[in-house]
Amino acid sequence: MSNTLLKASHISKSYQDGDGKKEVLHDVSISVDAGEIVAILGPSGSGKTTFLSIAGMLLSPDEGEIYIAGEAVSVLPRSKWVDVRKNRIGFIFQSHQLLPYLKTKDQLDMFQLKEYRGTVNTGDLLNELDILSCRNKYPSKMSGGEKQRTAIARALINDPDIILADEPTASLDSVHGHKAVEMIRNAVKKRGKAAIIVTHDERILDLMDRIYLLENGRLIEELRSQKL
Amino acid sequence: MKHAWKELIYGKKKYILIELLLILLMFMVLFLVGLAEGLGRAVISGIDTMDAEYFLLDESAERQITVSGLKEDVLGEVRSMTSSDVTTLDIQRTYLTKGGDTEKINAMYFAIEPGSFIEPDVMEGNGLTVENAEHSILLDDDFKLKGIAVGDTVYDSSSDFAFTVVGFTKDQMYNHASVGFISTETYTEICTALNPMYQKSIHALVIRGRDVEKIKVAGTELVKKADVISSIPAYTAEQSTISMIVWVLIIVSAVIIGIFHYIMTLQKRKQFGVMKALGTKNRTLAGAVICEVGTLSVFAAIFSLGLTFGMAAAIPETQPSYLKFSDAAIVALAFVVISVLSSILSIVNISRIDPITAIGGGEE
Repeated sequence: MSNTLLKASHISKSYQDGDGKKEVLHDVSISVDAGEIVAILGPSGSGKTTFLSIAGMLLSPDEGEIYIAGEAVSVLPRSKWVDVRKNRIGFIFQSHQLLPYLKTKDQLDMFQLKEYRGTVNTGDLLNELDILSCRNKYPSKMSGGEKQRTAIARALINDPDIILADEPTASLDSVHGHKAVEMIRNAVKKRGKAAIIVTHDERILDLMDRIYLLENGRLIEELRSQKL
Repeated sequence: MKHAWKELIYGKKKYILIELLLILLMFMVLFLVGLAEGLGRAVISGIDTMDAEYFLLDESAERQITVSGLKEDVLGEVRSMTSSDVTTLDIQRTYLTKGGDTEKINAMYFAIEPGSFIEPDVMEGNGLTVENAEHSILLDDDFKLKGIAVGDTVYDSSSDFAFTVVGFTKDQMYNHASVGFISTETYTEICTALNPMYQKSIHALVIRGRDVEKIKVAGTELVKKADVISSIPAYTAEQSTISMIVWVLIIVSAVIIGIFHYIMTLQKRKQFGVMKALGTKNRTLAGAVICEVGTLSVFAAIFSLGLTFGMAAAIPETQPSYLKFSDAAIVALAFVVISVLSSILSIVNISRIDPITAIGGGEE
């Protein structure tokens, strides 16, 4: 039985560009198994954020399909996407994107689904990420690393199948950036989930199981960790 | 609700300023409503507070009491037709002077049958039926501001007729003049003194009762109190102009509030995008916006009502301001509803925010 949690199959995407069309993704296929953390690496304009948006049910592909735990989710009507995002995907954005008016515990409570209130304990999660002391702090009173760890906790609060991270180290120094990604890796390994990290940051590649290289919307190489 | 409240608490400095703006806008509207109502009361209160339902007027008088003229025997005729209470009313503009003063005080005689159902409640002193007071007059308490007290003598400036002030009533004005209640008998004496050829007639019969439909007198018209009020010269035109000003202010205020909320929504586009990306539904966000706007508006309504009634108590009595709590509450409620409706534009804007904005647009 396959343990693939995310499968992107032959994804293509174009945007209107003046009179013509610009193809930003061409026939990209990526799969991530349970317990795996992979990076998508590429220069600006390579299509990695577009891929993340399609995988995260924020954008529809022109061609191809997205499967989460074997279920074809990209064929679902758009009105159902919000439920897929809420139930099955954990997002970590650039610059944490925490709500400024909520304390850490409220950041998690606000997005936690009722059915996970008994199974995912907020305190345990904060303790695991070493931010229990920030429980009653607003984002403005926390360091960059603490904020990004709060964002990681928020992504894990509904025990999602996959974690999608968009440049999670962009606003952190190398030590804190590495530590944040290490926490994502540990959480993924511990829970048997899958994670895709879109990044420019080569300092975190040692934490990846696999790396996909994108250039001009095409997948040009897939590296296994032993080749890094 | 909890979410909206947390945002309000966190951004209290910003929201206190917005709240202040809402309070001032609402106060401005309420205060103007009070002034408009006060101006209206200065025209109609003498009739409006009268415990009457109908007025029998000369049908050619265009529903104006002062223009109407009924024959003296109509009173007996009408009383024989109905079991309703029926009494007479004559209205005459005049000028009064206080003994020893030369200042003429604009006034309006309401000539009535002493002790009849249209005699107003007395706030100080006695009513017109007081014994040993020849040619008594019951004045609106506005006259107190002119230094007149119970027991003083005031003079009709055109006939030099002397009255003894027997008491004061309140909220009795007609056509921007304070009312002095005198007896019909005294009124006839004044008219005869001014014009020896005076033929007694009655301006109007005032009626309170159930079987008014039995009243049929040729050449007369039975008019409801509300219609008599709206026929007072210039009253309707004056009120419609002021109402227009008030409603324009309410609409302009609503637009200002709507623009404020819209700008705040624009500032939070990225935040809403993140929330939508994380699975928050449009209706949840719309609910949060309505809660936020509703909370701000309700607090503004409470504070502005307090401010308006505080101000009304503090302004000089000569200022025509009159605001019933029920009227003010209706205006405040309308303001809250309009404020919430003005947030619809923000809600439409939020529903159009693409959650992809959370990760920077997807143009890469």
